[in-house]
Amino acid sequence: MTIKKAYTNGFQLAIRSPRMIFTLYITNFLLVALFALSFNSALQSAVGNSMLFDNFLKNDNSLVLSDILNNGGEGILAIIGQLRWGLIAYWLLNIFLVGGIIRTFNKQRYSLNMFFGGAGHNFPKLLGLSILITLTHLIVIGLIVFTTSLGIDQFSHKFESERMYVITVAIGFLVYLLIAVILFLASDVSKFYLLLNDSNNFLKAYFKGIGFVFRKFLKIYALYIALLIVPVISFYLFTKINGDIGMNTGVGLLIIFGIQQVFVYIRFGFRVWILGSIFEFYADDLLLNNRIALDKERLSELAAQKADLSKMMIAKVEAETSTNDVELEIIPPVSDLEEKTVDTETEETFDYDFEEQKDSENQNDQNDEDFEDNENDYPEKPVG
Amino acid sequence: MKKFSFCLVFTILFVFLQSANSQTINNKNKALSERIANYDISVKLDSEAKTVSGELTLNWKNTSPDTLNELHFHLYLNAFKNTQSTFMQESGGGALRGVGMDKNDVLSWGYCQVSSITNTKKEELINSFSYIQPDNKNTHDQTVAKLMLNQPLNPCETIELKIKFETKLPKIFARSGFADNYFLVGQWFPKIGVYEHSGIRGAKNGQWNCHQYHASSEFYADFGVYKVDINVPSEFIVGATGILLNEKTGSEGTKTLSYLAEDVLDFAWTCSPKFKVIESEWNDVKISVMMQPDHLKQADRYIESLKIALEYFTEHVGPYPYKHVTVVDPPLKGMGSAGMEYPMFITAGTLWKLPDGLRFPENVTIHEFGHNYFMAILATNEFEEAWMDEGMNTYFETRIMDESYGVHSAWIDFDFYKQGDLESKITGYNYSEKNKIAPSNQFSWLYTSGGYGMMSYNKPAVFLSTLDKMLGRETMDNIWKTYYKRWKFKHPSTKDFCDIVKEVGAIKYEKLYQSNIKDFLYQSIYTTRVCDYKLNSISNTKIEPDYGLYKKDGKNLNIRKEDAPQPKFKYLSKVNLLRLGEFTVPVEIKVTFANGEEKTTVWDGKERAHIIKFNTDSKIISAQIDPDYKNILDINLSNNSYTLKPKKSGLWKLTVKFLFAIQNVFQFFSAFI
Ligand SMILES: [Zn+2]
Repeated sequence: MTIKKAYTNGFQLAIRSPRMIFTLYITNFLLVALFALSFNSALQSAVGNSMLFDNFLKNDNSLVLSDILNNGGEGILAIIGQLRWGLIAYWLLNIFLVGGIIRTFNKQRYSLNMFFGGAGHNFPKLLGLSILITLTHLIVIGLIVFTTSLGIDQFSHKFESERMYVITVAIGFLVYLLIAVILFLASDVSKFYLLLNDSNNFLKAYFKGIGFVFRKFLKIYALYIALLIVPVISFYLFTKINGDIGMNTGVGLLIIFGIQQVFVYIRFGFRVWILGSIFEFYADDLLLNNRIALDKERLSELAAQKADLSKMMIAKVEAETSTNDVELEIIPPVSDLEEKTVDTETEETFDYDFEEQKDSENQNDQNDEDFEDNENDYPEKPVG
Repeated sequence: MKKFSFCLVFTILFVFLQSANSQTINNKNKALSERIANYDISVKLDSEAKTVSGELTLNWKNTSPDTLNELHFHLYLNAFKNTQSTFMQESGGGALRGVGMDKNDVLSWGYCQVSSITNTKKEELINSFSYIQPDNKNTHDQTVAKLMLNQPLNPCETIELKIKFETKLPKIFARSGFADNYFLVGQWFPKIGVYEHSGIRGAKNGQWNCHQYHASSEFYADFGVYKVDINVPSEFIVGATGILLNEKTGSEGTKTLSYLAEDVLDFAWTCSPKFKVIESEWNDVKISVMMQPDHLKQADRYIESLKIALEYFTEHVGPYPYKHVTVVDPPLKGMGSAGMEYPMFITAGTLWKLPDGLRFPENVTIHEFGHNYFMAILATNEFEEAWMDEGMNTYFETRIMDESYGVHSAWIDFDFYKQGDLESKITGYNYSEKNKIAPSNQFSWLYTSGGYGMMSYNKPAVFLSTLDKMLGRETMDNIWKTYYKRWKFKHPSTKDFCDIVKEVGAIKYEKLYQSNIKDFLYQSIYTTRVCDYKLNSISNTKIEPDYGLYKKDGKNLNIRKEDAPQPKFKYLSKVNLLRLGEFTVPVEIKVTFANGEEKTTVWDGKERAHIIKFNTDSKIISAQIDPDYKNILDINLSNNSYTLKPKKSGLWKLTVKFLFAIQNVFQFFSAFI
């Protein structure tokens, strides 16, 4: 699949999923609003009758903030202290929600039941995966911090000014960013792997994800960078609008609040877009290489997109597959194949794929390498 | 007695000459100070061994009425000789302002070793030179030495001594020393203490004031003329207190620079082959900024802020009496020497690519330059009354910073966060848990449990700002101008300053607040009291008509409620005030009524609880203690006002900011799944 196609398909997935994005947004908003409202009521009870804040709308000043933090009672500090638990809760909640997102992608339609069904079903494995991902980030950060401090230790006597320290730290940070992109990509891919295979082996999924990112390194990296362009521009626009309007009047405050919420909402949209694009990219690759049998409904759609078939052809495929609503079906190893019946439709679908596959040879080579350590898990060649 | 009279005549003559010449300040022929301690120094820097060695001729005048048998000297750098010095012990093993000593490197240690002391008769006195510990019993401390004279020094006599010394500079962590090839040479030569005769700073009897080098303390010295010849490797670029008279090429790839500094109380210098010198001018004052190559783009930040400070001090305090200011920009490894003041010579500090929104270079330049007034011209005893140099100077720093860069943004100025300079000082004192740890007038090394910075810098800045707001800027500036005029090139004490405040400010203060300004000064400087007033509540009670049994014209009357005459006013409104802190200060109370009327009244702030009553037809809707925020000492601003109709917008603004910030943080962390 081309970057462009993954990019636009991901975008289409995102705009076709307003309810899903809203679900993501509203969970974030509601959880944080709980804290914000208790923060507000702590403020009200501590200084609600004080006039200290009267001019705060016009000019916020740091002294008023210091005063409120020091004299506003224990309540405010307690709420700030509780935020860490909120953060953990939100992190867990997000792991739950991602399960729903991916099932929605797979099904190409959104229903609350399906979304939360998927979320619940996939939660344990995604939790394992997320812990693994977070650990990897921490290890990478640790290694980078260790290496940079070792470098600084070794060479600091040669550093003439803080410039070299700043540059060294900046390089360390940049290296982390570069690696983090790989890890983010790998973590997304491994989620798809887990869910599409309905596997529980998140460790394996993670390595598959990393393997996949390395195989498709340039393409997927370019895709990710392209996916970041719009969020970055929107961030710039947001800060500019925010600064221009200012929170100095009641109306301004309301407008800024609205803009902030739209911005948060849009960012969830970006997250779905990124996930969608990577899903398209990955699922397409799986399809090409016949690693698994996808949900047949979804499979036909993907195939249709890829092969750019005529509407008639799609209709035919759909007609043949519409009665099947099996969510996922793993193609067993070759040795087991005879015992299971593989739908002929699947074979047809793959025929289209191979017609369209332009660089499949290269991909297959890489795939073989990637799968060589567990050849027996999956058939090397398309079924049939 | 006779000698004393002679001395008195001399002093009167000096004062006369000084005031007569106040307009032609810095005229080379006219002494601005008594010039008690004069040094002629010739030294050579060994840039490899990190030593400065040579000889000095001290010309010291006994301006006291006492006959002296001994002289006391500071040998400051012996503080870095070993771990047993008082400085090292007090600083927890060698650290200052967060910069620690590198004790693994043998070059880190420092000392100031005197090898010979001879008088004009070429008599060797070194055997009469011994270390003493006037402040504690730490016999390992060698930062003060006593020289027993073989002949008494009579009043008004001058003694001339030739002193040979070698100073090993420590690796910089506390003001002075070296970092690679950067040298900041301060507190570096055997320096005579101050003999305070009776009357000086309240001394009852004459005595040497020559304290050991402490971790939390700066210095004290007499004025004099310094002629200093410095020999350095020829590739070094040198900056120093004073004016460069000439530069001569020496032998073996060296050069000698000769400096002259008149009417100064110290001499410091710096050198490094890496300095880039940028020069500028303000009126007839030459400005030299000695930059690190990587900081070159920030030279303007130093120069502009220095010019602002020169202008401000000249206008609000008095003229800058010297012709030169040098600003040193230390390298990262020499940051221990950053932010330090010497006469005509200051060290600042910045970092590569430091954002404009962090005004550290401006702040440190203005602060350290301010010490040319509060310390170097108004020569207070920094050991004993640190608030007089650090505190007064910090107060001026906040004035200059906030007026030049914004009251709410002078110190930190980013879109997402701003802070003014005075705001930062208020936060450091008012909201600190340790704000009662000690009074501000304590000897600086006695802040053993911390609090030196807060009580010497922050609290004085806060109470002087309060005084400023209460008296008004014009009166406050008159105080500073009088203080400068009366005490320049002398040693003022806390009492001397307070006398001027009382003299210049008392009438206005008493008129405005019917309160004694002495109380304010006493509490601010000598006590640990903190100030907190609370507007506890407001109430409006409907006034009922008076009825019941009365006697009128000998007749008993039973006035029924409905027959009773209607009261003149509808409501009895009360404002209930509390004094929660121990510090008392008169405060203004502004009361706002429902009909928009406002009334302001002054409460002397002395009682623990106070009620202000109004008979009125319109209810009180809000009341405010100190509506113009004059009492900056108040440690709780939230409880200073009470309104029955609170405006919620400010709280909602803060809530929205909080909400958005947390939404962002949460969303950021959700990436790690
Ligand atoms: Zn200072």
